[in-house]
Amino acid sequence: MTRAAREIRFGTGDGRRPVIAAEGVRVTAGAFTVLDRFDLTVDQGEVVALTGVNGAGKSTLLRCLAGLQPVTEGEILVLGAPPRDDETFWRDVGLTTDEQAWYPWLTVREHLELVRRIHAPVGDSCPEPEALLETFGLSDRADVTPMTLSTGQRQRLSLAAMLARPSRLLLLDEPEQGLDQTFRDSLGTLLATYAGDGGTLVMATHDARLAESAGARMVTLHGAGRT
Amino acid sequence: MTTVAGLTRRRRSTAREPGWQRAYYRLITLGLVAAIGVPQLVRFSSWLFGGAGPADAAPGLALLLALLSGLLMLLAWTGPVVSSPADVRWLVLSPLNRRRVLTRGASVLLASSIVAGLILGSLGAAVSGGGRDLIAHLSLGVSVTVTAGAAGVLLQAAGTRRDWLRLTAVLLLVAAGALILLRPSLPGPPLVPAAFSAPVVATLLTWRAWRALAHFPSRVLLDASARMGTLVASSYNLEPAALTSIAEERFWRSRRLRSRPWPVTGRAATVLSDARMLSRRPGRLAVLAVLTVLPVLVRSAGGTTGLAVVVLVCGGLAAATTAAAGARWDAQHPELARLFARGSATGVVMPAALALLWTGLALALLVTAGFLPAWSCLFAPAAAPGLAVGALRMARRGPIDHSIPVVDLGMGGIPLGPVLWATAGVDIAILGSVPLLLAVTPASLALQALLGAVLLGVCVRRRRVSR
Repeated sequence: MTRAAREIRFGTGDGRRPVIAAEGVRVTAGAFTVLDRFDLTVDQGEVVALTGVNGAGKSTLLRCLAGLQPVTEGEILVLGAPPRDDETFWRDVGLTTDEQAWYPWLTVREHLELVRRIHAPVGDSCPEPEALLETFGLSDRADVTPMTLSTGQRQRLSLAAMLARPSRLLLLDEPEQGLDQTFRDSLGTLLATYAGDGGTLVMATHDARLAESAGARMVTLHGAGRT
Repeated sequence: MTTVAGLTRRRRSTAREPGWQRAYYRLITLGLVAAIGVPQLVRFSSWLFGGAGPADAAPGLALLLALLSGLLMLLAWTGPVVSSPADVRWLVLSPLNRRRVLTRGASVLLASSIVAGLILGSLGAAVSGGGRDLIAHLSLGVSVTVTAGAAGVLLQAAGTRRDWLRLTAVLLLVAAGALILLRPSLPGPPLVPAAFSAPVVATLLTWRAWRALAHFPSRVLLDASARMGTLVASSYNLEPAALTSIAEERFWRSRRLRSRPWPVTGRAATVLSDARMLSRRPGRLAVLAVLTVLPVLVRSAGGTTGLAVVVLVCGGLAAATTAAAGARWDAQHPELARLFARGSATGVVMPAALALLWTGLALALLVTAGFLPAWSCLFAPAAAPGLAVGALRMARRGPIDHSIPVVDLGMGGIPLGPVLWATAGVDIAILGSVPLLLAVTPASLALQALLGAVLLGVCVRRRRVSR
């Protein structure tokens, strides 16, 4: 899959400012500290894999980067500004979690087409829906509602939808979930290509092989945010 | 030998009063409700249909047939005999007397049928001319609904309830439509003979239904109780919206879809997504189209203009809600709104369009029938934004907040959480339609247009993606 270099619109990722800058981040849940004095800097075109045991705070960190969870202390800047849950932010940032949902009245192909149409102009920077269906092994399920897909197929559709649209940052929470090992290897290559074309990617993962094939910088969390 | 009564006694051993006392209290309560409620109901019905005369018999009868059709659809959907999930699991699937196990559910059905019959009877008395022959009308109404309930039980026991009840409901609707279109001059109904013979039929069928309870098949009970269990759990434990999602998922899973290209880009594409959903449910659109006759039907049956306008607003809100499925889905799944970077502005387009279309058609029918002046059609674009914003609020209201305290009124507590949930959205729709509800005048039209524009502006300015 080939991708043209992305157009930079907000002047971030220009070598002077990082795409993600998290400093002294502390997140608490009641009496429990999930992340403590956590720092992270991610530059444009970089792939970062957050690893660590269950409960180490990987998903929490992704939610903070997406602006879905407020930090108790510290500061997070994404694309040069604090993350915010609005239309403009989500035009540049893609997020996949284990909570997947689809419009039951649209087919798999229509979902991919809709993503492209809404994020128009897409240009040549993103693959066509047909190419994505082929790459993600969904061609024979293109004309059904996603409600009838298996768990793994839904995960494939979720990732395909992320790549069907232009974005500057992808936040992926355990993208390997439900995928067979063969496709995980292909996914690593796809993600590396995305970063090679100028996109930035942060993913929480338990699959070291996937992280390696995506060419990721590993950041291991040890609970309470110690790195 | 273990009996149902013994089990029930043991299960309710913590109750404060003995069984006979509870039965006495229930009887007294029912008697009081009947003594106080029925005259009030008749007075209210007579006020609603105060203008009814012999010439309005056909529309009035059509309205009653439509109500009865709705009742049959409800019976087909509910069971009608249901038990609590616990009773089904522990008592139905056991060697206990089946009829005794089902007595409670059957009693609830009988009581509900009687109440529905009283309402139907009082409405019948009102639409046939100011409450004459009240006792005969009430007797006929109760007989019809009890007969329908008993027939529902017999059909349920035979495992064919849905098809026959739905067919009957559709036939009743067709008959109602024919009455409206043909407006035949109906002869005075043989009310007194009917009021005497109908209870006989109702009693006979109820007796047969009672006997059928003894051999009621477990399978149909399990189906009906699982459905009602989901409804109750969704209402009290989870969120009623979950039930809608489950029903929608089941519907779309069974449909064969065909991919179609998107001719538009940007925000228009999200609007097209809502439109595509509507176009793939033609049955819903057909029902909505048929329902546009309701306001003119109510007015033709002698109802006041105010009542017709209330029906108009309710119908417009229902139409807008039908088109708000996309917004509801987005509210339940914020990850979708993030993926499509979908704001609030686009979500209001289709609900507003459908509300405009529905109210426009209904107003046009009222104008054609001579009940409203021609310029009143302008209320459609003026009221549609308020109805659409109300429908969007309903779609995005989320789960019931059970943490809100219960207000104790001495005679019982009112849980504020469910009340606030139920009124969310409806309140905006009502407030947004106040000028129309108050009067149909040029001044109220201007005020309605202004109010609609303000509500639309507020809705479009909302930028947050998640709920």
